[in-house]
Formats: sequence, structure tokens, C-alpha cells
Amino acid sequence: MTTNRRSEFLGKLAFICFLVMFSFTTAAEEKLVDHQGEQFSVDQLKGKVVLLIIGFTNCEDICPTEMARASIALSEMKEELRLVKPIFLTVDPERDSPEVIAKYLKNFHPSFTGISGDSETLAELVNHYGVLPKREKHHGDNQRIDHGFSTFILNTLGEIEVAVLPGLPPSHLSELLFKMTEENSKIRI
Amino acid sequence: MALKTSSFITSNLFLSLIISLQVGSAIAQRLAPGYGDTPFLLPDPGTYSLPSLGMAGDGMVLTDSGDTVSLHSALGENYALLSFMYASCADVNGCPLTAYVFYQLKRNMQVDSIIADNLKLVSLSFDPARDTPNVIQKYAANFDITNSKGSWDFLTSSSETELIPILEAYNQDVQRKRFIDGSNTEELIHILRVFLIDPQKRIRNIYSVPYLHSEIIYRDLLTLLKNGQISPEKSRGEMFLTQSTQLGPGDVREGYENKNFKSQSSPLKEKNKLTRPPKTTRILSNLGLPPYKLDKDLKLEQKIHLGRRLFLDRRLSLNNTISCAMCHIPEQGFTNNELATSVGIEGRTLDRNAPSLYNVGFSPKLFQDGREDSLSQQIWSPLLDKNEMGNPSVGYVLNRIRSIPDYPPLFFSTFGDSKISMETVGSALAAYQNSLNSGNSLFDRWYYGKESDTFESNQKKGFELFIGKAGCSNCHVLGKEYALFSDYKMRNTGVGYLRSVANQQKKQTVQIAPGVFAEVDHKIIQSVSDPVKPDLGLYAITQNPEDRWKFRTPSLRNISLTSPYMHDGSISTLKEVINFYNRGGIPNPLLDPLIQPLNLNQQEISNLTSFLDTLTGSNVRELVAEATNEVVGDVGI
Repeated sequence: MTTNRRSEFLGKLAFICFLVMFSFTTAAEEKLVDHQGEQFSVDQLKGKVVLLIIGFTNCEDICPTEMARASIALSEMKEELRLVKPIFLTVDPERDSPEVIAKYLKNFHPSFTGISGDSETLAELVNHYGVLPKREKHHGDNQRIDHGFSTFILNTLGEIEVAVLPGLPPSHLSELLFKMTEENSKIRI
Repeated sequence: MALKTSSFITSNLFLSLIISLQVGSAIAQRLAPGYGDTPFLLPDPGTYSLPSLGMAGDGMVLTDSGDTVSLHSALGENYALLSFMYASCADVNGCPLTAYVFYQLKRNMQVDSIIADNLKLVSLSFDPARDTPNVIQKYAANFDITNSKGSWDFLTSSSETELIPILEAYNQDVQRKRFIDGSNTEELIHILRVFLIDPQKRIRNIYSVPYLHSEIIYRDLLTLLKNGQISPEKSRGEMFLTQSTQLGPGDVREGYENKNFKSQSSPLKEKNKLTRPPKTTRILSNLGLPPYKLDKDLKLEQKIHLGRRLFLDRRLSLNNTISCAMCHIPEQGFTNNELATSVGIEGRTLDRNAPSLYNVGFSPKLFQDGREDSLSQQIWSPLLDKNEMGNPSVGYVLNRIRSIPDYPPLFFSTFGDSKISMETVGSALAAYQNSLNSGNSLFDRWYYGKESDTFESNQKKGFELFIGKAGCSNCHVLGKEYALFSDYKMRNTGVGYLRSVANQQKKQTVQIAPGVFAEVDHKIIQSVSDPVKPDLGLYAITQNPEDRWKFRTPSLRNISLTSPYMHDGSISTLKEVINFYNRGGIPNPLLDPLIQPLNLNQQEISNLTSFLDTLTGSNVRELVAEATNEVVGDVGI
């Protein structure tokens, strides 16, 4: 994308995001909970570059791969890591209680915060990121949820800046996060 | 010359993590070569050619800014690498592999202006519902602030109605995965293919899983940049092989009937001069052929290699004297140009001509009587036939292979199991035979590749006769996308009938030396060879009297290299074969109704022959070189 197109695109996004932020900061935040059982508010993300992974702990293919890639990328980062907020957002609150997520996150980079909560609120939130999960009809431990694309980087305003394609190596992800934190600190100066 | 793979170490760690984390999924998948080193030694750029594989399809697409443009214009004015993408593809050897390989190229664009200036990466989404222009903008944003040199464009389409014709044009069959309960998921299944397209919008290479590697693509790009436009002169010189003896040791026998014939045979050492690295040509030689069947098999190259060794190994016969390659001689069209019917173990006479193995993987029926349908099973016929390789039993052959020290490690590295079984031996020999694909002939470049300047008028006239007046294409059929020049049906042309009923001539002309002939009494010939037996063809399999003297219709690809002709090798030249059909075959009560006198004049026969000479594949030298350079046992070291 050229710089012109990019700024035009960012302009449009800023407007959309204003609307969206407004909607989910009011309705949603009461009903979200992090993996330590604390109430979670989207406000906590403000001012940070967010590495957002949408998935569920029973997922066998995309999610662990994406979490592993993100963990390697995060471990490659230095002090700029404090400007990054890695989030694992579940699409499966029925099975993914805070305890289950906490256990799952032990496999990955310690900076991850896992988020679960009320299913309607979560659905609203993931839909906002363009993710439309589809649940297998039968219920049980091996129920699959097809949730589509999963790794995003959000800027400090909470807007999706980049959708990171599966297959791009972890070094690319850490490079992207680094550049974004760099850009943000420039803005602050 | 090599591309830098700077993120390689971390990526490998990442990928091994992927594998270890796939807990619960049935089998951890083996990673495609694209994630690591190149799967084989690559030829230097410019030492090979990449002929057109046909025109790249077109259609209307959407850019990431929402503009509707044609795919061709989105590919730009230079070389383009086109992939079809499904962003949430979970198969590690599917879309993520493509993204990984594209990323390696994009990364190299930062330091190498040759790639940055000459190649555009383009990914078209399979999924217009999810991948709207707004969404694909976010994919493109991966390279806004890092690795921004060079372009990797993302495209989508307005609807499936717009998308489907494009997918069809690129032979992309897309289906939806299902949940266990049968309901559709949003997940798509497709076969990975990436297309290298030139500025004239011709496809110059197609990469499938085992061959999708940034280094291969880089070398192909350099090769195309070096070669520039296709030179018809060069391609013709390369292809105009009309006799297999030009392929290596052996003689060019033209003029052998004259006393002043001079041998042009070359010493055996010449074999090793045919050393052009052949492997990539396998996929490059597919113009005019159906898609290569085994392209998802990651161990394919190892299987082919093992199969080739078995194919060339004399120790697979009872007395260690005969290999498969001694009747299917690589430099003689994978048949035997010198003998009408083959000679087996201890000089035993066989009844039929060794069929050429070029493109045998596409043949639904095997053997002249069509009695087998699978290459991996077929091999046991010659191995166990008492007149061919003479082995007494399957177990005997397997124990023989087990006892040769070279093989157990090779079987282990190929099949992950040192068990040498009917299945693994069959699979290796079948993989080699399946690899003997040979298309991309002068005809294919003209007819399927739309290279208008490569075909001469007599060849065109010959082709018109082939599909018209001479009616050849009624049986030696051509398709829209490819041609095997056979429908593989069983037919009676009268050749078999003649052999069953004709009285043997009392005297027979035998050529002893160039220009020296002798009339030999038939009794003398009979005293040193087996009597000619009637051959009833398909009848021997079905026992149906209607099937007497029916034999398989052969493919005509590489026909100039595979003399002698007919199931019993009874006709030596193509001109004589055309004369045979011009006369209407040999009349008999069960003659195929399609065989009728053709009333072709001499000029027409000559044109038809010129056309048949254009069916020689572009990779025959490489296939021969592969075989002649193979080391079997301690021979050739």
C-alpha cells in the first residue's frame, strides 16, 4: 500500500473505530474476565500495541501454531515488549473458563493475557474483529469450532492494523511489533 | 547465487514447535521442502529453458482498495507469481507454505533489486465472503512498515460467480471441508499450485508442494530473464530428435541398407556426458499432458530414485543377467529399437514388442493385452515370467532385494520402514515409471502453448489429416487441455490375425551388414528360434471369441523414438505403418470398423509422418541422462 492510500485507510478506520470502541467499551467490559479471574476491560489495552490471537484451547491446528509463533516472536523482543499487550481471546467460553485458559497459557509466552466471559459479549467482540466462528453441531470435548483467521495486531487506538498471515515466520511478527512500538513512541514524542 | 534465508533457524524452531504442538491431531505432518533446504541439486539459471505451458486465465478481481480490474492487469507488466490463498488455511503444507515461500522472496526483494524489479507476488483469495477489500488490506499491511520494497499484492473477488471461472481456468478445484456431523465448515480444501506468469501472460512454471521453494522460483526467474523471449530456433533444435539412437550410445541407422553406410556409434563413455540435471524438467515437461498425479507425495524424489535403481538392476532376475531396462532401454525410447519382439532370460524368445514406457503412468491399461491396470502390480508379471526375468516367486524376489546391501537403507529412508515388501517394491518401481512423463513437444507448444511460429506448414497439414481425412484421432484421441493420443481401447487391426493365419514364407530376406542381404530358408531360421506362435490378444484374458486379435491402442507420444511398431514389432518405420492403415489394415472377420482404406497420396503420407515427428517430448534427453547416470551396485562408480 502506498503512504497515501495508507493514510486514507487509517482515516477511515479511525472513524469506524471510534464507533466501535464506543459500543464495546460501554456494553462489553462488565462481562469480560481474564485468565486470573479478574474483571477485564478493553480500556486496559489503550496505549499499547495489541497482539491479538482469537481461538479456543481445544483447537488442534491453527491456534497452537499461532500461539507458538507469537510466543517465539515475543521472546525475540527486548525492552519494547512492555509496550506490547499479547491477548488470547476465546471463542469458546463454554469450555474455556479462566482456569482452563490459565492452564493453556502456561505452554506459551508468560506475557499473554487470556480473555473469556459471557458468550454474547465475546461473540460481539470477535465479530467486531471480522471473525465469525462456526460451531460444529455435536457437543462434547472434541467439538470443533471453525473460527477462521486468528492473528491480528491492533494499534494503540484499538484498530486492526495488520492481519498476520499463517506461514509468515515469527521473526516477521517480532519485526512488525517492534516497528509499531517504535512508531507509537514517535507519535508520543 | 543462493537466496538468503535469514530467518531460517528461528523458523525451523517454530516449525518443530508446530509439529510438537499438534497434540491430538492424528499424525504430525511432514514439512514440505519449501520450509528448508532445496529438495535436490538445482540446475544453474540459464542452463535450462522454461517453455510456455499455455495462457494464464483471466477474469475480474477486486484490489485491496476496492477497484475492479482484470486479473491480467493486476498481474502487472512484468513477471508475476500467482497464488490462490485462503487466509485461515490450517494445513501447514498448504497456504502457510505459500505465504512462507512468498515471504522469503519478499524479504530478498529488500536486498536484491533483480527480484524486486522483475517479479510481483500476487495472492488471490478463494474466499470472497470473508476476504473483502477491507480485510485483504490488512494482509497487505504486513509489508507497510517492514520489508516494504517490491510488491506483494492481495486480490479478492466480488462474489463466487466472478471467482469460479478464474479458478477453473487455473484448474483449482475447491471444496468445503465438513464437520464430523456432515455440516459444512467454512474451511476450504484445494490443491496447492503456484503459477509463474510471464509479461505476455503465459504460464512458464507451476509449482506444487514438493517444488514450491523460493530458491527454485528465484532460479526460474533468472532463467527467464536470461532467455528473454522464447527463441523458436533454439527450442526446435532442442526438440527435433527423431531417432532415439541420437540419445546416446548406439547407431543412427538411417541408410543402413546402403553399402556406403558409415557408423556414427559413440563409445559407452558418452553415456556419462548426458549429465544435465534433470529433475525439475519433470514438471516442466507437462504441457499437453494431464496433471502429474503424485504431486502431493513429499517422498516422491526418493521413490523415483529407488525405483530407477531397481529398474536398472540386473540382480532382480533369476541369474543376475536381465534388468527391466534391458527390454525398456532408456536410450531406445524405453523400448528396444533393434528387436521386433523381446528376448528374455537365457535368450528366450518372447511374443510381443516391448511397449515404450514414456507416459505409461497415464495409461489405464497395461500390457499389449490390457490385462493389468496398476503399475505397482504390473511389475510382478515380468519379474515372475519364466521367459522374461525368470524369478520363481514373489518371496524369492523380495529376499533377493533384501540380501543386496544397498537396498535396505534406501527402503528405510524412502518408506520410513526397512520392510521390503510387494507394496514398497511396487510403489518405488511405479513412481519411477510414473516419472517418465514426456510432453511439451513441438506440437504441444503450438497447439496447447499457442506458440504460433514453431509449426511448419507440412506439419500443420499433417495434423489436419490426422484429425480429418486419415481419421487417426478417432482412436488416437486429443482433448481440449491435453492429449495422450490414445483412448486405450482394445482393437483388432488385423496384425494379430495375419500372424495366426498367414503361411510363413519359404525364404526370408535377412540383412547381414550394410547393403548386404541374404535369402535365408525359413527352416534355418526356425531351427535357431522359437516358432512364431499365434497371439490372440485380449481373447487370452476374456475367453470371448469376439475379442480375438484385439490389442491396446498405444499412445503416439514420442512415436518417432519407439520403433518398431505394432504389438509384435512387425513394422519398422512410421511410413510403413501409415501405409498399412492406408490400405485399411488386414481384412478379417473381426476387423475394427474404424479401420478403412484412407486413399492418402504420397504427399499426404509424408505430411502425416512430419506431424508424427513433432510428438517427441522436450525432456527425453534428461530422462535418458537420469537413467544412464544412475549408479547400480558397484557398476558406474
